[in-house]
Amino acid sequence: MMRFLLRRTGQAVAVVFVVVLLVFILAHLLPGGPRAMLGLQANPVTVKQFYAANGYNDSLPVQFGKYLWRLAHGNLGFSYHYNAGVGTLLVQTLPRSALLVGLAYALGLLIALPIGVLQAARRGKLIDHALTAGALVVYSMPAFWLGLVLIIVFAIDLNWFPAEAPQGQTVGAVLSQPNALVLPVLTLAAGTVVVFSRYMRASMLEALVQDYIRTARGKGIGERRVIWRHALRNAILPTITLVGLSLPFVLSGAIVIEQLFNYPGMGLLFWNAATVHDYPVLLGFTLVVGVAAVAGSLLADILYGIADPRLRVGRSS
Amino acid sequence: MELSGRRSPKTFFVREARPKRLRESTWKTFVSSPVALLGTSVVLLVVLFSFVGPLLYPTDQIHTNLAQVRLPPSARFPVGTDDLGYNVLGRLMAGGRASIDVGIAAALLASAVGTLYGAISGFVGGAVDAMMMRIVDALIAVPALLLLLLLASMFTPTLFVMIVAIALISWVIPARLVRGETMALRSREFIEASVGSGAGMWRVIFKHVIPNVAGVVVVQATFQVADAILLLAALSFLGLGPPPPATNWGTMLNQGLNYAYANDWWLIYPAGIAIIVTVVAFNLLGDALRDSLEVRLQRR
Repeated sequence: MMRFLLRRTGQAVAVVFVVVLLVFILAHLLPGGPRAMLGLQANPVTVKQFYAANGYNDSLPVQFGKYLWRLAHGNLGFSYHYNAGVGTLLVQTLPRSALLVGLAYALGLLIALPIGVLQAARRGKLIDHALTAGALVVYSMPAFWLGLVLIIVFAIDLNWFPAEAPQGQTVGAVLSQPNALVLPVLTLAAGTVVVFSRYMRASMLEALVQDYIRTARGKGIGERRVIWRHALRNAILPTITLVGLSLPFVLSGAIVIEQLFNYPGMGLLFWNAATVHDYPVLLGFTLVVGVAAVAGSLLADILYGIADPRLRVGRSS
Repeated sequence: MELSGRRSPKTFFVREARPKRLRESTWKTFVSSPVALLGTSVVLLVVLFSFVGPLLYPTDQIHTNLAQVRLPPSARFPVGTDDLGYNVLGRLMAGGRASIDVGIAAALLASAVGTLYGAISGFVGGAVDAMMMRIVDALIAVPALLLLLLLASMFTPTLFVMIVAIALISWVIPARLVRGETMALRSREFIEASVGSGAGMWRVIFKHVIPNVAGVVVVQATFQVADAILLLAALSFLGLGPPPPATNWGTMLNQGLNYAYANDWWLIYPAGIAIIVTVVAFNLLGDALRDSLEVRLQRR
């Protein structure tokens, strides 16, 4: 177990290094070089100062060293567009995105778990096929289109919910407009339902052929209890792990949803930055999400190892 | 477990367990599957619609016509006109062509690069393999849409740039897949015999590895066409897709969004349904191909 942890951590550190290197390379591939980070109208004096301050006149390895040094001090760059540090901008928008994604995740799991269990229990029956077909259609549906249709039906035609997400600056202010959260959360949750229900179904199918299930049935326990107690408890762990792993990918789904519903989170910030070529924000955001993804998967692996006694030994393969 | 890829739980209609006769051919399995039939015929229909359609139903997709803006469907315009006076039915064809061009080209490029990279990494092994795979891990860690938005902001997103950018993001999936297959193949006798009789790395890769991983790669490439079409649509919907006069289904929806309040449904439903139908078809085709190709591979 210890060896596995060390090896796995070493790998994660290497991947983080490559992510940083990738972002560094992208900064140099910017049209016109790193000066693009100051915007198109930057005057030569500013550019000179910027290059001197950030060491862009040095050789590339030295530049990379200085870049690492800045990152180590939490300096992600400065957005000329917002006139604020990238780190500050991320800290401002992160709670709002986390709220939206968190709600969508909770709702998605709540819907997906019973669907996956039902499909596994009725494997090969009509209901299983129907739900699979439904999952395929939702999977193949662009999230923005689903959001658009929901807006047309529930905001414009029926006028049940507003078409714009809450604009509050704090989490409390956002939560004070639950009505406005319904459509964005539903749209984002739809995609997660598909993914989680597929995981859950596969995981349940695996659990249902185990020996302890046969034992439980042999003892005369009712089928309902076998499925919802014995199988579900064992099937839910891998699903939960995968939920953690897919978080960064939901963040990218949040870009589309936040833009469509004008929700002021990280996604909207990133989209705005892309349209105005605000490269410090784009690069900083990419770096943070990439590193978070690596850290998340490392954490998931470690927790998984701790949670499942079968994995504590002999996982060095 | 490792950093999970972008499309892990994604088998929808794969036959799970079924008796298969030893000599049953790949082709026969494929043809006898209703999923394959549905997937193939819808893909063919979409391709016909997008590529042959404009020949049978020519429309002007270049000049705007402000005299016929946002007309509802009628005998003259079966799906109405958009805010610039383009015939929407013709626009759907043009948009489909761009979507399918980008989807297929990006998937082909990504598969070629990924296969080669994965085969080399798996064949060489050791420290080189570890290094090559950390690069793959890093690229998988950053969500695709994020990188794509960044690239689209850096370079003018023409169709060609789109293809390269999407391929640049998605080659890592086949790379990891092929690397795993190659590692498994390396220890098999026919490869060992080949190496033992003096064959170099390239010869082994092209003569033995690639023919043996072709099935897996083809299946993956089919799914990647679907993914690429969705990525292009999302990027275009966000307003960072190929600039006019080029169009695709995502761009059409980006324009249609402005008229959602005007109830111009023909600017929103047809393009969205076109995306869904096409992506579903490619996903079904992938499932069916996996069914017939990979079973054969597993039987070795």
